[in-house]
Amino acid sequence: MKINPKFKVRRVADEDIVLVQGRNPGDMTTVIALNETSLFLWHNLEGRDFEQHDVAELLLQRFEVDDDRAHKDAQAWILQLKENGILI
Amino acid sequence: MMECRSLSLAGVTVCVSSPDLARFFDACGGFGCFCTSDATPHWVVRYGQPVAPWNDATLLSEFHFLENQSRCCFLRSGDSYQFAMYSDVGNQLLVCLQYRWGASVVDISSCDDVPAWRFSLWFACSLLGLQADATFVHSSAVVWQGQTVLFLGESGTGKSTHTRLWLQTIEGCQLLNDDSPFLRLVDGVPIVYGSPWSGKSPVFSPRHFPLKAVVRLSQASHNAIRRLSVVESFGALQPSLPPALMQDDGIRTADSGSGMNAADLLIEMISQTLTAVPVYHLQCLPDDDAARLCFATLFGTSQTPMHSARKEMF
Repeated sequence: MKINPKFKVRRVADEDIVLVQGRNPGDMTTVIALNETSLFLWHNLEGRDFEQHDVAELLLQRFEVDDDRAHKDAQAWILQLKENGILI
Repeated sequence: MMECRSLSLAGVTVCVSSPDLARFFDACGGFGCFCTSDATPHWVVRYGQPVAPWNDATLLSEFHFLENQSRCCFLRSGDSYQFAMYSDVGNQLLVCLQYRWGASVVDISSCDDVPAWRFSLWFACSLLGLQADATFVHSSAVVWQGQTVLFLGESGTGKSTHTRLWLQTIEGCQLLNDDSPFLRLVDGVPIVYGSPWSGKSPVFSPRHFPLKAVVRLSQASHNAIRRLSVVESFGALQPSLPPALMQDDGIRTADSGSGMNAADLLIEMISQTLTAVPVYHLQCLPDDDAARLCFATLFGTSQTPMHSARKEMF
């Protein structure tokens, strides 16, 4: 899987956000706020093909978490991106 | 005959030249008080130019314009944009506008239809405004003691109603614009300018005042106000900026032109605005209490300076 290159992180008033715009006037725009962890993952995985274990590996390197927790968090992060149509 | 007048819009001098200009100004109303004698325009909008619609450009946005029952198309090719309006009946071209990124001139075809003339000039100013950190905001703008409050909401949510309640309830309150004021960032400070495009209340004022706060309205069975987080504020403000321009986000046109796009500039304007002023969500009834609650929250005064006629009632 890959982060769709059409999405980019924007800095808005000291927050890091990703905009998912509708294509027609009147469509809802989804604004996704990235926390520090999510931003770290995004920057490290942007432009790369990756799997869940790559995400977990990054979490293990950066944070003091056990293997099980890292995989669960990786799975949750991927799921959230998928739900918002950000992964291809 | 080609006629030319200079307008002062968002602090910038715009020369508009058009056949039958005086007739259009009369028919549209509102332009008179924006006329200026400044002979050195920053921007030029020229009607009566040989602009023909593109066939092979990227369609950024297509939408319906109710006022004259027409279909609007906004396109990009390389560093240039086109905006065209076609009648629903007969698919007749009403007007076609062309603009190259960064230029100070917008060329527009001949146009006989008053709503198309008025809206194409609005669109031209939307594009030109990007260069001056200025954008239209679909809102009602109310001024109290030299500061502006922008009320946002989809059409029909009661912007004009709530604005009217402020004018009736709060002494010294004035309407600056009821549909499409300019918001301009001047050294990071958001300033609201009146414009010749106003709505239900045809208030045309060339004045400008700093922005105090932004309030998104929604109808409810009670009155409640809450300050929004940055992310919520972004979600509240973004839909009120020109939606067609927001679609020029560089995604479908990544390989063309300089890579500059309108959405990046609009989002930067939102970012600077959110850094400078708070955004609130007001759930409200169409009553005086809603205006008083909102006013007290924004201006922090426990005593609402009510109109004397109203004071006697309490």
